[in-house]
Amino acid sequence: MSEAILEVKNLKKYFQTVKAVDDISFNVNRGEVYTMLGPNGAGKTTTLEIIEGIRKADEGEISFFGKRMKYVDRKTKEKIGVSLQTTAFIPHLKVKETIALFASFFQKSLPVDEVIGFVSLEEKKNAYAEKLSGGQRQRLAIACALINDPEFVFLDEPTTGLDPQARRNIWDIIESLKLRGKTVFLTTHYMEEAQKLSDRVCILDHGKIVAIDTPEGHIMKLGERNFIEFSCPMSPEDIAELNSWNGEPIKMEEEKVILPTKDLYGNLDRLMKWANQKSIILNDINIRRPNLEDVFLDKTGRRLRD
Amino acid sequence: MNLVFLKSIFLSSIRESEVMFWFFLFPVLLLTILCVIFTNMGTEGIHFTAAVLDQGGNGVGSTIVRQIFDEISAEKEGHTSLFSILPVKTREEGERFLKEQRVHIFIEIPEDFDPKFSQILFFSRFVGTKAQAPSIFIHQVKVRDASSLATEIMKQILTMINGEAAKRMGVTLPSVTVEAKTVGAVQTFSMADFMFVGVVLMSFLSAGFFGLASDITTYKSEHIYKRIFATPARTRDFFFGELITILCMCAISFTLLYLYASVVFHISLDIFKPGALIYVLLACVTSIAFGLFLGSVCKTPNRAAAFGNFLFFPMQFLGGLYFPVFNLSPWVDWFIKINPVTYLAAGIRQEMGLLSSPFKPYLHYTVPLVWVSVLIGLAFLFFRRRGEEA
Ligand SMILES: Nc1ncnc2c1ncn2[C@@H]1O[C@H](COP(=O)(O)OP(=O)(O)O)[C@@H](O)[C@H]1O
Ligand SMILES: [Mg+2]
Repeated sequence: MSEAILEVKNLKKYFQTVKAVDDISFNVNRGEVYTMLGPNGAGKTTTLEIIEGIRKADEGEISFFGKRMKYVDRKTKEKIGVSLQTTAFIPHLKVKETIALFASFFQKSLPVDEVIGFVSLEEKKNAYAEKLSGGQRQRLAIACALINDPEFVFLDEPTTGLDPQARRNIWDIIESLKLRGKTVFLTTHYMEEAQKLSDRVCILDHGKIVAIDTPEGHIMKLGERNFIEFSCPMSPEDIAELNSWNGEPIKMEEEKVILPTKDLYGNLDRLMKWANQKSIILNDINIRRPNLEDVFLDKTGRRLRD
Repeated sequence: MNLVFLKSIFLSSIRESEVMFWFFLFPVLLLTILCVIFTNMGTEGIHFTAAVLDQGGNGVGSTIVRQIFDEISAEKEGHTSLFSILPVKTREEGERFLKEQRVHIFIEIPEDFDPKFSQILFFSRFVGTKAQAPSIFIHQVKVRDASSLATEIMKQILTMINGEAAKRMGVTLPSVTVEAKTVGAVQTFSMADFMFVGVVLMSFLSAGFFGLASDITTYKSEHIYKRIFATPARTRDFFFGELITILCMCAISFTLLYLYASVVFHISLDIFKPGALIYVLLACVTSIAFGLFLGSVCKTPNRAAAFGNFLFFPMQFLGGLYFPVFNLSPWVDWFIKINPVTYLAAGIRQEMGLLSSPFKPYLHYTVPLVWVSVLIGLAFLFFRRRGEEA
């Protein structure tokens, strides 16, 4: 069956009073795209940087490639690729010089041009890294992470701040990494991204793991249900009434009301009649299937994006 | 050693436009400005002092020479004279004044000047100019600036003797030869050499204070360092690359500055004396130590630049880079005495034979070396502490 390439046990990292990583344990299997999903400050970067060997944990244990270690050693670093959340490169170096520099850090590395081709930066290979667009910089960071042909790739929020086209380019790269059998450890706070790319999603909040499952698994656990969303001003009595319908409270986001339901048509019918009777106008009525955002909302009572 | 790492760090530094300006262009500008200012100050009120040992008798030759000396040392209508004449009684006294730099030249009228002068006057009248020419000796310090300039002027003046003699006696002239002698192994002073040393040290210091410190803090604050050490890269390769880069930058800056200064200001080759070169290298090392220290203590390039400036300006001006700082007020004296730059500048200039240093010889390298070891020690402590924080 699936083999755990990375095992993390009881990892802890506190910054003074902030429990950045608060006793988390999980496994990543060979060949999967494992995504850590959580809002800003959830502890994703701290977790990654500990595993990458950049930070020290307060407590905990890591097994990488079947070897237990306190810190990631040089031999392990030969087999991993890292793209940090902040993509900074040595100033005034060209794209190909930057990649060649990273190649020089490893005993074995791929040809620079091959990696440039893989992230589609051929046209920019003689450009200075600081002159690249956000998406191109991110692709350069990924190229640097791939130069040693790693078995295991860490990508920390590779699409944050990118436009949709640039984001899709990165998604393509991640999918082709998966096709090549690489293990990818991804972090993101975009639920679409986690849903689309991941084999498994680990939901993290305030340094704690909320749930780990496949994207479908997470959603299945919410039960067979849909969401009816609409906007309208609500009085406390209105809220109390809607809460009583399904034995599950509605969720409010300013004017927006989210009504979870297992009986979609029954609830829709009842909602229309209720609105009609009270002469309330329901704006922006929308029916949708649950997603990871709902999972997060369900578990934490908050949305992913603050 | 990872040479690609070295190459990358070097390229990154050399392509920085500020580096081009501060390390390569600015030193040349500064040297030009300093030399122009100080050379002009020298020529505005040009004035020399000559020690004269007059062993001549009362003959025609000596009388003419004395009259000329009176002429050039007389003050006219508020203008200071070109020469002051300081009579001396013995040759030893004259040479001592020269060595102590109390006079620019020492002129000796030998005892046989009058007889020879008369002889040549006689022979030129009757048998042509076959006789031995009378001589006046001018002793100068090593052929350089003020002293050689005074010699040249004095030579011009003494050839006027011919004109005077001709007017008075209506004869064809006996030629007086002026022999310039160099008094060896004494200290000489060249403003351009002096300033060159100052500007070279300034440029070296800025390589460490600003180049190295800014590199290290940029790498830290922009997480470049973190990214690099998520690979199996070695810290020692990074430091090796930085050190060689700083040394190369210093070498390039030095070469450019030397070529420029030797063409434009005719500076000497004295900086290449091994003793002086050792101090030049020590200056590089000192600068690197300060760079490592600033880089490890400060979190961002801005803070490193602020802290660097805070140290750099007093260190350069109170280090005697552009003017001597001995015997200043006690308020700054303590700073001068603990400033490694003071000793580096004094050491180089002493080795070049430019200026004697008031410090005990061992202090020239001890003080900078103490700084280097303390700063590097502190830098490693800070690197470690920061490393654990991260
Ligand atoms: N060096 C640090 N010092 C103090 N607090 C930190 C440090 N790094 C991260 N934190 C805190 O730890 C928590 C987790 O941060 P991080 O791992 O960056 O979250 P994420 O990557 O999920 O956005 C945040 O509250 C953050 O403010
Ligand atoms: Mg993060």
